[in-house]
Amino acid sequence: MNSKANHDHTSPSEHGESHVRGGHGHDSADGHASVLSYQACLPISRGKLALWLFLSTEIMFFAALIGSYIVLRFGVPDGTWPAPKVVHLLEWVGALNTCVLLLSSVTVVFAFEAAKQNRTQVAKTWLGLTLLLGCGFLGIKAWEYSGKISHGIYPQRPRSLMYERPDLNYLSAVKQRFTELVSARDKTASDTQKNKVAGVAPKVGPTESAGELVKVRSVVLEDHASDADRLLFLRETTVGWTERRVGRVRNPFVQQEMLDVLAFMIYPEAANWPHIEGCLQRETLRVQQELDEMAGQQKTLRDKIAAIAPAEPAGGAAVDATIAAERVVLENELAAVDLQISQWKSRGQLLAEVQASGSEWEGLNHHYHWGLPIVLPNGNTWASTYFLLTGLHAIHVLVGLIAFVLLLPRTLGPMAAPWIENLALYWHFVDIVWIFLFPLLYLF
Amino acid sequence: MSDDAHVNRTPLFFGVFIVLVGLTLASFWVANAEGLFALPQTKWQVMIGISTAKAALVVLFFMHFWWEQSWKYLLTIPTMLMAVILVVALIPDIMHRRQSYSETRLNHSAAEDAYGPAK
Repeated sequence: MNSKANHDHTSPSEHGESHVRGGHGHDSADGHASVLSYQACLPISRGKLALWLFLSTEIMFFAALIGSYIVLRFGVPDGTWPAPKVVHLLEWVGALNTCVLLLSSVTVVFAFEAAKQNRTQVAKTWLGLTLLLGCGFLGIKAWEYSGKISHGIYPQRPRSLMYERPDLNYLSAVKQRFTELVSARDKTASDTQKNKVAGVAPKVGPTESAGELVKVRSVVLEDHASDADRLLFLRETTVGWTERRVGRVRNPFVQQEMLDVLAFMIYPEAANWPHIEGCLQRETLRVQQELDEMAGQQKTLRDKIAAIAPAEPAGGAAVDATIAAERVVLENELAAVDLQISQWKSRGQLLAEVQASGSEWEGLNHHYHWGLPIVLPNGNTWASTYFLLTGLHAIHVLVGLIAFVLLLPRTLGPMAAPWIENLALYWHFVDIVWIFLFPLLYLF
Repeated sequence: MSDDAHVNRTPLFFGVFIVLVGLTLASFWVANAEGLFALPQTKWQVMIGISTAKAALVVLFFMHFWWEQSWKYLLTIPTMLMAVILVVALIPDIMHRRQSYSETRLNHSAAEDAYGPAK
C-alpha cells in the first residue's frame, strides 16, 4: 500500500493497511487464518481519478472538435479561408487572452500551494485573482463576439450576411437590401424631410431619385451629405449600375469583374487588391467609353432639338402641335441621356475614390451600418467552427468560474486543497485547449 | 498528488509562466515575420509545435505530471491515440471533400477562381 498517496481524503476502508474484507478471514489448509489485504490500484484519490477520467473524455471531445476544424480549414482551396483580419479577429487580442489564461493558471497553482501550507487568506487571494482573470478572459471574448455580430458574421442566415462568391445571387441580395433600406427611409422620413434632403418628390422611384444624384456631389464620405443622399447615390452607382451593365454585357469574364468590384466596394478583402486594381482600371475605361457614347447621343439630340426650334412654321396650329410633340419626345430622350451621363460620372467618381484608397479601402459596410450582403468565401464555415469552438471553450471557462465562486467562501486550508487541486486540473485543461485554439483561429 | 508539500515550487511555476508567455509571443512573431518561412505550411507546423510545447509545460508542471507516478500514461496515452485516430479518420471524407464535388456543387462553393489564383 502506498501510504504517501493516501494521505488525502479517501475513506478509511481504502487505507486498510492490513484490512480484513467482510470481517472474515479465510482458513488456510494448515488451519491458520490468512488476512486479505487491500492493495490500491492507483496511488491517487478517488476524486482526482474521477477528474482525470473526465479530462480524458474532454481530451477526446476537444480533439474531435479541433480535428474537425483542422480538416475543414485545410480542405478548402488555398487562399479562400477567411484571413483573421477579414473576420475582425485581432491577433494581439488573441495573444492577450492567451496570456490572461496562462496567468490564471499560475494563480490557481499558487492558490493550491498556499492552501496546502494552510495559508488560507493567501489561497483565497490567489483564487479570487484567478476568478477575476477568468472573467477578464470572457469579457474580452464577449467584446470579440460583438465585433462579429455587428458585421453580420453569423453561422447561418437570415442573420448571416455572408455569400460564398460574387455572383448574380449575391447581386440580387444586395439589390434587395438597398430596396429595404430605401423603403425604410421612405417610411420613417416625413415628406418635408424627404423633399428637403433629397430634393425629390415624396414618391421616389429609382430613376427619379437617380436624376438628383448629379446634385448630390458627395461621393462617399463627405460629411455634409445626409444619409439619405448617400443611400440613393450609392445604390445607383453600385448595385444599380452593376445590374444594368451585367445584364447587357455578354462576356462572362467582364460580368465577373463587375461583380467582383461590387463585392470589394461593399466589403473589401485587402488580399484581393491586386486583382481588383486591374478590374477597377478596366471598369474606369468602360465608364469612359460609355460616357463618350452618351456624349455623342447627347450632341445628336441637342442638334435635333436646335434644328426643330427655329423651324417655326408660319402656318396653322396643327403643324405647331406636331413639332411641339416631336420636341417633347426629343427633350425626354435628352433628359434620359443626361440622367445616364450623370450616373456614369457618379460611377466614375466612386471608382476613382476606391482606386485612390487602394488596399486601404474599408468598404461601405465599414462606414455605414446598412448591413449590405458581403462576399466572404467559406465565411459561413468559418463562423460555424469559430463560434462552436470558442463557444464551447467559453462554456468550460464559465463552469470553472462557477466552481471558483462556490469554493471561495470556504476555508481554503489543507482540507480544501484536494478541491482546489481538482479544480486547478480542470482549469489547466481549459488553458491547454485555448493554447491550441489561439494559433489555429488567430494566426493561421 | 505525489509531490511533497514542503517543497517551494513558486519560482519554478513562475519561471514556467514566463516561458509560456515567451512562447506565446514567439507564435505571434512567427505568424507575422515576413520571409521567415518560404511556405505557410512550415509556419503552421512551427506554430503547432510551439503550442504543443506550451501544452506540455502546462501538463508537466502546472498539472504536476512531472511528479506523478506511471498511472498518468494509462489515462493519457490511449486517449491521445483515440483523438489522433479520429482526426486521421476525418481526412478522406472531410479534408478531401472537394475531390468528390460535382461540377454544380463546385460552381456554388467558395472557390479560388472567384478572385483569381490563390494567394
